[in-house]
Amino acid sequence: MVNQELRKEIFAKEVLANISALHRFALSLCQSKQESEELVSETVVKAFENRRQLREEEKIKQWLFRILNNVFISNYRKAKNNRRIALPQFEDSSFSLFEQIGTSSFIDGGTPEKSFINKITKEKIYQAINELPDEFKITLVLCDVNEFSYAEIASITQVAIGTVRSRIARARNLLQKKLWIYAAELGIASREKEKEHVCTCGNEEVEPLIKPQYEK
Amino acid sequence: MKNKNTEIQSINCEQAVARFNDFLDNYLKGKTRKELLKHLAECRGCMDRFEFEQLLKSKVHQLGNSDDPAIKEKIEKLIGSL
Repeated sequence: MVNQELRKEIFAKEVLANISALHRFALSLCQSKQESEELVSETVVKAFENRRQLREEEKIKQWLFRILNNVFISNYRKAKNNRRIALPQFEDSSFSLFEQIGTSSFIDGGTPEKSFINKITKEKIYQAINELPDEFKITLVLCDVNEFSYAEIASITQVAIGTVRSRIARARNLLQKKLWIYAAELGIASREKEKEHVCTCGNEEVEPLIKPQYEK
Repeated sequence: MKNKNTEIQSINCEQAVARFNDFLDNYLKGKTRKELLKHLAECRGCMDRFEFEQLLKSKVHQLGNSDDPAIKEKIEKLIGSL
């Protein structure tokens, strides 16, 4: 009995040590602060109910994130208001926000792209991330905000590492398209025509495309 | 002294950009990393674009810098009731 109480106390300490990180993840996924707090609370309740299933105690952080991810997907995804700002119509994986604003004449104490980075608010980034499809949003936040490795993200979201890698690429691309709308609102970029990268390296003729060597 | 750059193959801008995500996340190793670094050293356009991608990633990362002490208190109370 004493052992059980002690184990519960140790588990509670471990959970509390990860609450801030869990809450940041929840905040990035949810539409409101209240919703994010409910998501964290439900995650904690589920973690307590299933704490005997935690086999590797050193992986408690990953395990808690996996529970939160599962709760979010099963409870919130269906109920969530599916309001999204329309993306530009073209499906172009090579889209670059940099190319859109790089030739802008908007300069506020530096290059146009640095001015844009300085001008963009946390709220706008939250909003843009929030409007991404869930699988991309979750992967991007786990990678760029919470700094999990691709292997850890694969474990949390229960997909293959290759899927994590492609989702990160797609998520960053989609995020840039979302932020492009914001840059256009600020007058830093035009929404009319995508500008192309002008090759200055002199290697345009280089063939073939060598697949990057990927290491876990 | 032998110039190590002569052993590294040149890549074009499209090939370089395709490696940005792996490089940003520190997954680009060995030959492919050296080829990208060589390209970035030679191509101002790609270097500027890469720096922008880096700045954007760090801006997204900053979303995780703020803590809300209230949530910890709420969860402590919740745990007490479990």
